[in-house]
Parts: sequence; structure tokens; C-alpha cells
Amino acid sequence: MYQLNLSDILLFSAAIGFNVETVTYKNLKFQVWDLGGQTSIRPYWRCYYSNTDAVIYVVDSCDRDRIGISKSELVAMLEEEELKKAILVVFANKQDMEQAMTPTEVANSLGLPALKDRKWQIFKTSATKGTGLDEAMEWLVESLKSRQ
Amino acid sequence: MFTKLKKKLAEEAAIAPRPGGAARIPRSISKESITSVGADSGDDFASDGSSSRDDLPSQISRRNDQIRRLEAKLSDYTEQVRNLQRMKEKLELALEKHQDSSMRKLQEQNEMYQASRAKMAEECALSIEKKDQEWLVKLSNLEEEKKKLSEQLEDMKQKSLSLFQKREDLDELEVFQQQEMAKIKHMLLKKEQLLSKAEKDLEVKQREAETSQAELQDSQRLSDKLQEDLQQLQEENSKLAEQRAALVASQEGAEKKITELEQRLQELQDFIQRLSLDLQKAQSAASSSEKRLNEIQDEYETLKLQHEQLKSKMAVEGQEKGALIIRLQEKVRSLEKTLEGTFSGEEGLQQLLKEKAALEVRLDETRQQLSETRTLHAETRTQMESQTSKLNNRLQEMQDLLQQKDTELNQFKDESSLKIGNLEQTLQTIREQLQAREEELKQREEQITTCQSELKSERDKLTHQLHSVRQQHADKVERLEAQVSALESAREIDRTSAQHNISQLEQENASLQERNKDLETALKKLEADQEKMKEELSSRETVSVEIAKALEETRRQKEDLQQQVADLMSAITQNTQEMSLKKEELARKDEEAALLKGDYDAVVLKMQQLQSDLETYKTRAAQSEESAEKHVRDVTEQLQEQREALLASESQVSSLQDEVSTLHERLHGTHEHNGEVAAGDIALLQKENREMEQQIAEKNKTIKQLQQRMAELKKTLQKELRLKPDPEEKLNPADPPAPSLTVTNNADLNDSREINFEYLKHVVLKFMSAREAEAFHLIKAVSVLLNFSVEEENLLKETLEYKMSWFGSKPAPKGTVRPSISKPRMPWT
Repeated sequence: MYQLNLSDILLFSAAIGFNVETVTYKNLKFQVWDLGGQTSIRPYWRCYYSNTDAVIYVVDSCDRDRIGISKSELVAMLEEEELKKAILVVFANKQDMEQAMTPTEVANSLGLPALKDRKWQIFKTSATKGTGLDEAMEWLVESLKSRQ
Repeated sequence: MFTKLKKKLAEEAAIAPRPGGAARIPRSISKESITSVGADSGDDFASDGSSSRDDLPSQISRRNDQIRRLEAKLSDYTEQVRNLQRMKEKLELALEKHQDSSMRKLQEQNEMYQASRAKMAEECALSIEKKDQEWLVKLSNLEEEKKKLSEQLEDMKQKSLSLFQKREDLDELEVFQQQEMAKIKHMLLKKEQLLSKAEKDLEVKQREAETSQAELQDSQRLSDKLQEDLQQLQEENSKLAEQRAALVASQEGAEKKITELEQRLQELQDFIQRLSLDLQKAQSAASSSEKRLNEIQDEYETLKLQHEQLKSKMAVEGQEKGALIIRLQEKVRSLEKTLEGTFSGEEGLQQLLKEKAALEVRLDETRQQLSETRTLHAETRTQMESQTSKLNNRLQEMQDLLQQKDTELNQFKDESSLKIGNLEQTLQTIREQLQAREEELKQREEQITTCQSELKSERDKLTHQLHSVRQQHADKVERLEAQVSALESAREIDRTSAQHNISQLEQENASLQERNKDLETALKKLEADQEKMKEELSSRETVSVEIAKALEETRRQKEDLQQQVADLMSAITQNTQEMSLKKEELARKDEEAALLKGDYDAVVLKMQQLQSDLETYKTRAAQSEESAEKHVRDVTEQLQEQREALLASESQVSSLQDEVSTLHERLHGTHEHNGEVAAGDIALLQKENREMEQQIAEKNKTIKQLQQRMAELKKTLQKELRLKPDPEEKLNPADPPAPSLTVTNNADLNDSREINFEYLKHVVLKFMSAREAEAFHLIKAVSVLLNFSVEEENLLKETLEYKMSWFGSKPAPKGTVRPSISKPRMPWT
């Protein structure tokens, strides 16, 4: 599980910690905070919530056992006051695997349809193949621009 | 490590508010243990009005129990009150006794005081008498002293007479002094005259010095001139040196010329040698040509000889031929004679004519021969003659040539000799010139040396002169100065002597004056002594007056003591009044206790509500595992609130207890007025109080149990999720963690600590390496990980802003930020 505040990168590091990168996509400058998803690190997510425009929540579509934890974490995160206005982009990752859940399955198990007062979208991605990222970023850029 | 820190912090936070409550709870429990044994029945619906209808019977039963207990307590209290009353009576008795004793004591003290006062009066009288006697003695002594003093006075008068005499002496002395002063002044005048003379001398000498200085200046001018001359001479010298250099250069040029001329000479000599060689060659050629000439002459002579020989031969032959001709002519004549003689005879004449013709032919022939020889001879002769002429010509040519060459040689010799002569002459002239120039140079050098020597000598002389002049001047000046100094010293000596005289005179004067003063001071002393004696007399009189005053003061003190006794009596009466007032206050406090009881009821209700809430949370926690963590968070928060409420209520309870206890204490005082009814109420109240405390304790227990359950739930949840630490613990370091939770999670904390450390490392690394804008976002993370206080976090933010902005000053750490750095923290490992 990886979370990115803003991202087009898929250099998901398994290292303990995070990455910061500034990426320009379609004349929009993204400061991307790649926060680790490890259990021990999750508490520190909230350190980075301030001034966040969008959250990219990357979910392992193959891990059916822990999708529940993922949901509770997401719900807890979205309850934060600082992320009230943040756009949510969910990456249903590992779509190249056979046993992967479909984006709709992932969305349902994350309880996304129940979200109100939040602009969200789910995309199927494959980090290893690098597919699905462009559409996601396109949507994110558009929605950010439209908000302005 | 963070968890440890947090734990520590949390424990500190948890402990901080508790000590009061913790201290109070045991007290309440102990009281409870004492009093709650006999607590039983009692119907009290009034306080139960607001509770729910369902619980009413149970509450009623509870209340009954409470009331019973309170009644029991009340009976105890009545007993205690009775005891206290007995005690009070005893105390009153004791007080009366004490008052009696104190009264007795006071009377005794009074008596004692009066006795002491009488004693004191007697003592005083005795002492006064004694002192009077002493004073009489002293007065007699003083009178004696007075007599002595009068004697002294007389002496003093005598002394003053002598003093007058001394004064007269002094006047005389002063007269003498003035005379001496006049003399001294005279001497001084003389000395001044001497001084003026010396000054005149000095002036004369100064003039001399000035003249000598003028001379010195003249001599200096002379020396300047001489120096100028010297400079000129030096310039001349330099010019001469330059000329010399020029001459040396010309000499060198001349020498070069000489060398060149010599070279030319050598060349010419070589030329001459060559010419002489040529001459020799020519002479040799001439000799050879002479030899040839000689040879040619020899040949010519030989040819002449031959010619002469030929001539002689020819002549001989001619003579012979002539002779022949002559003989033949004779023969012809003989034959012609014979022919004439033989004419007659014709044969004989024809023969003779035949012979004559033959003879004539023969003669022609001879003649021809002769002519031929003659032509031959002539030819040879001409040839020879041509040869000789040629030779002669050649000889002549050769001789001409010789002569020419001789002439040429002579001319050349002459020319060369002339040239040589000329060259030698020029050489000689040049040499002469050189010598002359060298001589000139030498002369000039000599001149220069002489000039320099002269200059040096002159200089030396001048310097000598200067030195001498200077020395002379210096000597003169020194002499003059010495004279001046001598004069001055003489003057000074005179002055000093005069001053000495004056000082001596002054000293004498001063000594005289001192004597005078001494005498006057002695007089004054005597007078002062007289005065002192008088003062002593007066002071002794004042002392006697003071003693009388002291006596009066002792009387006043006695009166004061009597007043103090009266004051003490009034204070006792005031205390009794205060006691009555305090009894009234106790009655008021009873009323306040009744009011507080109502408040307490409300608190109890709250507690019940909270309990119900807790139960609902418990059920919820059991319901869902997924939402358990959230619930736990809420529950802990609510727990916190409850605890706070509990603490508040406990504090209230404690305050109430305090008040109750105070009331309890004062109850003993109020028992007389309020009677047993009020005591019963109080007992009831106290019973209720204790019951409520019990309830609170129970609730606390249930809360703890709930917390433990929650911790267990968390643990199980984490185990299921393979979660290692409880993150919320880190997130809410301010929340006091449940003690059981921290205990159970200890094993997991080590892992999380390591991860946290690595995460911290990573964050700090990023924070340091990231750009300022990114680092600004990281401040929060860093401050969370390192448990920074708000001030420390703000400081970080300010410093980053300072770094990012162009202006502004560096923010200084303020308040508690700096000390917190030195605050001992948990070590990292």
C-alpha cells in the first residue's frame, strides 16, 4: 500500500520513509510526497496533511485480506480536517496480476461510493508496466484546474 | 524510545493532577472502613427523584440502606457528641480552675509587687541617704578642691604676672628682632647691590659673549666662504679631472696615432726593403748588363783585333799586291824596255806584249781578287761595325737604363729618406707632443694634487681654525657661563645666607611666638581646668536630679504593670466572646453542608450516566473488530473526560469531606445549640457521602476493567493484522496511556522503536537535504518524531522562513525552548 499526496511517479520505494519530488505535468507543478504505507509509518502520514490538494491512494488489488485495513485507514485519513478539500485518486494497482480485483470491486471494498462531499476517481494501474498512470494524471490535472 | 518518552510524559501528566485525589481517596476509604460497618436502612426518596423509574425500587432499597447506615453513624456521632460534651465540661472545669489559679497568681503577684515596691522604696530611701552622705563627702572634697583651685588660681595669677613680664620680654625681643630685621634688610640691600653689580658684570659678559658669538658667526661666515672656495676648488678639481680625462683620451688617441704611424713606418721600411731588394736586383741586373757590356766590349775588341788583323792582312796583302803590281809594272817596264830594246826584234816584243797582256789579265784578276777581298773585308768590316754599333747602342741603352735606374734609385732613396725623415720628424714631434702633454698632465696632476693638498691643508687649517675658534668661543662661553653660574651661585649663596639669616630670625621669632603661645595656652588650660571643675560640679548636681527622676520612673512602671493585669482580664472576656461567635459560625456551616449535599447528588447522577455510556461503548467495542480502534480512541477520549469529571467530582468530594470534617470538628462546639437533630442530619449526609465515594470507586474499577478490555481488544486486533505497535500511542503523546496497555505492548515497542528510529533518520536526512519549501512541510513530521514542543516547532518554522526570505532577522529561541535542550531525556537505545 502506498500513498502519494500528488504523484505521477511509480518509483515506489520499499524503504522506510518517503520521497519528495517536484514534477511538472501539463503546466501544473506537483510537489509529490511519496509516503510509505508500512504499518509503523502510517501514524506519521498526518504530519504531511497540511496544504494538500490531492491524495493518491495506491491499493494492492491482489491483497483481498488487507483491503479492509486499507479501507479503515483511508476513512480515518479522509476524516482529517486538513484533507477535507483534497481530491481523492485511488490507484487499483497490480492490475497485471491474474487474481487482481477489478476497480469497481476495489472501490466498493474501500467504501468509495459512500463518500460524500469529495471528488474521487479510481484508476486501474500497473506499477511494473506503467499503465493507467497517464489517464489518472490527466483526470487529476483536469479536476485541479476546474477547481481553480 | 519515543514510546518510552511518551510513556514517561504521559505518566508525568497522569500523576500530576492525581496526588490530591490519590491522597484523598484513601482517607475517605479509611473513614468508610471505620464508619460504614453499621450503616443500614433509611428511606430517602428526595435525592432519588431525578433517576429513572425502573431503578427506583433498587435505589429506594439502596437509599434505605444508606439511611440506616447514616442513622447508625448518627448514633455514633451522638455518642461522640456526648463524649465531647463531657470533655467540654471537664475543660470548663479546668478553665475555671485555671482562672482561679490565675487569679490567685495575680493576687500573689500583686502582693509580691507591693512588697517589692515597699522594699524598693526603702532601698531607694536608703540609697538616697547613702548617696546624700556620699555627696556630702564629695561636696567637702569639692570644697577642698575648690580651695586648691583657688590656690592654683593665685598661682595662675602669679604666672600671669610672670607672663606679663614675659610679654614685656617678648616686646623687647620683638624690638631686637626688628632691629635685627633692619640690619638684615640693610645686608640684603647690600647684597642686592652686589647682585646688581654682578648682574651688570653678567650683562658685560653677556655682551662679550654676544661679541664672541658675532665673531663666531663671522668665523662661521669665513668658514662658509672657505667652504664655498673649497667647493669651487673641488669643482675646478673636478674640471681638471675632466680635462685630465680628456687629455688621457687624447693621449690614448695620440698613442693610437703613434702606433698607426709606427705601423706605417714598418710598412714603409718594408717598402724600402722591397725597394732595396729591387735595387739590388737592378744592380745585379746592371752588373750583369755591365758584364755583358764588358763581354760585348771584349767581343768588340776581339772583333777590332780581328778587324785590325784583317786590316793588317789586307794591308799586307795590299802591299804584297802593290809590290806585285810594282814588280809586275817593273817587269812590264823591263818587258816594255826589253820590248823597245827588242823592237827591232818584234817577236821578242810580241812575246813581251803577250806576257804583258797575260800579266795584265793576271793583274786584273788579282785586282778583282783584291776588290773582292776588299769588299769582303768591307762587308765584314761593316758587319762588325754594325755589330759594334749595335753593341754600342745596346751598351749605351744599357748605360742609359743603368743611369735611369740609378737616378730612379737615387730619387727613390731620396724620396724614401725624405719620407722617413718626415715620418721620423712627425713621430718625434708627436712623441714630443705626447711627452709635452704627459708633462702637462703630470704638471696638472701635480697641480691638482698640490691644489688638493692645499685644499686639505686649507680645510684642515680652516677646520682647525674653526675648532679653535669654536673651542675658544665655547671656552669663552663656558667661562662666561661658569662666571655667570659662579655669580648666580654666589648670588644664591648670598640669598640662601640671607634667607638663612631671615629664616633663623624668623625661627627665633617663631620660637618666641611659640613660647608666647605656650604661655597663653597654659593660661587657657588653667582657665579651662577652672571651667571643667565648675562643669563637674554642675553635672554632679544634674546626676542627683536624674536619680530622683529614676525613682519617679520606677513608680510609673508599677502603674503600667497594674494596667497590664487589667488588660489580661479583658482579653479573657474577649476569648469567651469569640468562642460564642465561633459556635454561631458552626451553625452556618451546617447549612452550607446541606447545600453541598445537593451538588453531590448531581455529581453522582453524572457518574451513573457515564457508567451507562461506558457500558454502551463496551458493547460497541465487542461488536466490530474493524472499527474497534476508532471506538477505542473515542472511548479513551471519553474516558479521559470521565476521568476529569471524576477527578473534579473527587475533588469536590474531598472538599466536601474537608468541609464535613471541619463541621464535624466544630460540631462538638455546636452540640449544645443544635441538639441531636442537626447531628442526625449530618450523620445522614456523611453516610450518603461515603456511599457515593464507594460508588465512585466502583465506577473507577469498572473503568479500569473497560480499559483493560480495550487494551486486550487492541492487542488481539494487532495480532490479527500483524500490526506491531499501536500507532495511536505515538500520535497522542499527550493522552495518558492506559497502564495495562503500555505493559502489554512492551514487547512490540522495541520493534517500533527501531522502525521509528530509522524513519526518524530518514526524515531528518530528507529534512536536511530537501529544498526549503519541502523542508517546511517536513517540520511537522520532524517535530512529531522528536516530540518537539509547540515553541520548538515554531522556532524551526521561523528559522526556515528566515532562510527562505530575503529579509528579516534570525529568530532567537525564547521561553522554554532553550532549557528543553539541556533537559535530560531518555537515551535513544
